[in-house]
Amino acid sequence: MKLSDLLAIETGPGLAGPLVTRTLADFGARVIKVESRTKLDFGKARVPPPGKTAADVLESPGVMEMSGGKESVSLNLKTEFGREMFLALIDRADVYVESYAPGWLERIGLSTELFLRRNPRLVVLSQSAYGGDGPKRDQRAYAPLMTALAGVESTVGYADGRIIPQIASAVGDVVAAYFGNLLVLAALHEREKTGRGAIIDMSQTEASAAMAGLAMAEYGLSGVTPTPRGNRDPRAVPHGIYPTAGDDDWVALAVWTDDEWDTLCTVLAIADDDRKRYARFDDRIAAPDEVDAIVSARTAVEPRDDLFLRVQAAGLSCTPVLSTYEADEFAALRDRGLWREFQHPRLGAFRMTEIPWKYDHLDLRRRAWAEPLGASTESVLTGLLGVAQADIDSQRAAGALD
Amino acid sequence: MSGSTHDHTPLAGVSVLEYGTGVGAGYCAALLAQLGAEVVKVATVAAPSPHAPTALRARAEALLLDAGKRVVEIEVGGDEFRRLFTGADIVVRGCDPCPGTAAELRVEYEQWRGDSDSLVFVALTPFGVVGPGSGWHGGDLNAQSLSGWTSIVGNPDEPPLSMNYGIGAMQHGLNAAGAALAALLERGAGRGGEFVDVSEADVIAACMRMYSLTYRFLQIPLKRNGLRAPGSSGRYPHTLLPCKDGYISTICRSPTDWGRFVEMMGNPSWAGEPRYQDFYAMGVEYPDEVDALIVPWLMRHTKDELGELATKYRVPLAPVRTVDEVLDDPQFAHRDFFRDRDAGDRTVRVPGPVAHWSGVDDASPVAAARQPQP
Repeated sequence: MKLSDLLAIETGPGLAGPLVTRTLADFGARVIKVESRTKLDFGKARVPPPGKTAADVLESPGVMEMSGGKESVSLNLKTEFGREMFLALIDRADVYVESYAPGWLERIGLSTELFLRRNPRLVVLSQSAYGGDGPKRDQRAYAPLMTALAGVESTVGYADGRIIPQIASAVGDVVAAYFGNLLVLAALHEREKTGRGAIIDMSQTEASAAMAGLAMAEYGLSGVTPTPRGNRDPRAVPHGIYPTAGDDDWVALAVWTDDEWDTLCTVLAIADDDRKRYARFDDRIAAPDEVDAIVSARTAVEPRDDLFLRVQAAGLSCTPVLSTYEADEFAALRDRGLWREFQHPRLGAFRMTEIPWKYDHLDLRRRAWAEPLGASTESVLTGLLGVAQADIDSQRAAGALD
Repeated sequence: MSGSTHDHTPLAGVSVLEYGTGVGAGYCAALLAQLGAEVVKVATVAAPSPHAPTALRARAEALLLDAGKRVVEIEVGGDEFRRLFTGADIVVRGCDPCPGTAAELRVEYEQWRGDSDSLVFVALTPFGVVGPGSGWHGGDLNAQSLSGWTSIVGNPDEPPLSMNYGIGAMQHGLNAAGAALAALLERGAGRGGEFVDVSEADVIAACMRMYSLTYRFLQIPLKRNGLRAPGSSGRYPHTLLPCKDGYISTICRSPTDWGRFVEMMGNPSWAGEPRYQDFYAMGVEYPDEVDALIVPWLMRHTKDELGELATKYRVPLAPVRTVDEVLDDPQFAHRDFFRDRDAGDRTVRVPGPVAHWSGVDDASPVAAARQPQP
């Protein structure tokens, strides 16, 4: 199956569902985002920051990231014509991804079961915060709530047990997206053999909980509730984030063997007494705070990038702690295609993030920026569905295309 | 949903060989096994490695990652290994921590695939098989440090924090599984095999980058900020806050959400002041001040009580659950999410499949659709 032959339909806000179909679009699939001005994607409806307008939000980087390469069709699904057009799209689709709270389709007289009866080859990914059933089925959730409920946040923090969350990253959304992607691809694989589609009812919170699987297994074996470990690892000392010269500059450094410790002492000119005192792993693991203090005192006097290259050259695990902005220009990420630059007619040059999988042959790349809401409504309705222009005009006047 | 199943196996008949090191590769192959692929894992039989997991971690990894796999102790590169290699649809090769040898993974692929032109080979490394980082030494901690993730977690006056418990590496494995399946699908269209290069640094950097663009748009510096997202991500609140028995996590996406939050609190008089209705300024300019108004109320309630109130008032708020609490969560139990694993002297519960499938068996809507309609 060529992924570029697929037609995918999407209804869903934010990131988790839309990133599933964006990945398909990057493989060349035709992806149609069905949306409505009557119920804006919350990513397009956020309160504008000072100096920005609601129009800016509609073309903000977050929107560009999630909707790039997709066609936008505006349909008001509360109207009969809107639903008719939506069903006509579903009937022609290979994949349908939806990520609103469960029950919304039923409230407008539709269901994923209906879609599959009409189009038995359809692969449906129904992705909600907690899954399609259960006591929390109807509750809303966003990434920082899902990772909190999943136990992930309780494992992040300093080695003395203080929890410090990773909520700024909203990683729960991205994990949900890549799980969704995997499940859709698996269903498409099966469809090649059976000719049949499927309905996949996925819980985004379960996806986050899956990431905490090792902590759960450790708990089951030890009976000890996992708590934050800072940057430490029971297999290596030192193992952590160490200061370097400069304003808030750090390196990540790990020493895995006694020989590596000896090398580190030479590279950092650590005093012989300290070198010998902690020459054995057993002595280092018994005094990690002392070892960290010795290492920090030496790393703190050297610029970050000089230090990391020097320690790497000695054969040790050492890398700079980059800000997200530095990552954009860091050759080891940039040269592997972290982003692609586009020239947008209104926004000018900007960089959109690529899906981070590198193939020898497969063409996985961002195809285009996100088009304005509803920009492809007429072309899809006339071109794909064969609707007469006069009907479109009358339905637009009646609000069915809002 | 009637007729739904957790244990659907859409990848039945797909053969996978896994070898090398690292949680990422183990999880990649585990996900493929969970979806029905037949996975053979080559156990490391070399001398004890300093990178080998501790006893507890090793048992945890085996329980979580080896389920559904056939684990064999054979020599990598030997005759049996080569037979498995050339007979596989997908080969998963992990190198984490990687001692500066990532580029050799391509050599292995070329050397051992023989005449096969249909093999999907997935290389999981910290920094990639090609590129400036391919010769670097490092592992999960280092990959996270490059990605930007580490830089945004932690207190401003303390070191940045990485994710522990393999959470970063498992995202790597999840991505690699999807990348492999895409190549497998395209192979079916006659494209042939693929060498797939998935680095953990790339995977997490791409995730972080998408969010960093939003923060840039919001004119908020993306720097670590303790319990709170930087600048509350331009709204209020977006943070962890203490309560009677731990923490809650909350994010109000709109003034409407904030209105529900203060309604949940009983509409305190201060909530009517303009200062506490400026959604952006509360988050960016004086979040500590607003926290101080909320926290005394939160401290009178347990996190479960707050979770129930949040449901009642439709407030985006959830308890920060510890791992043992997660295992007792009624929603997860309702969906039969956890799986029992036999650990000899005890049964250990671990996460199972994250989805229910329907329409895939004879009792399915698809089958029903094939029946004559009345």
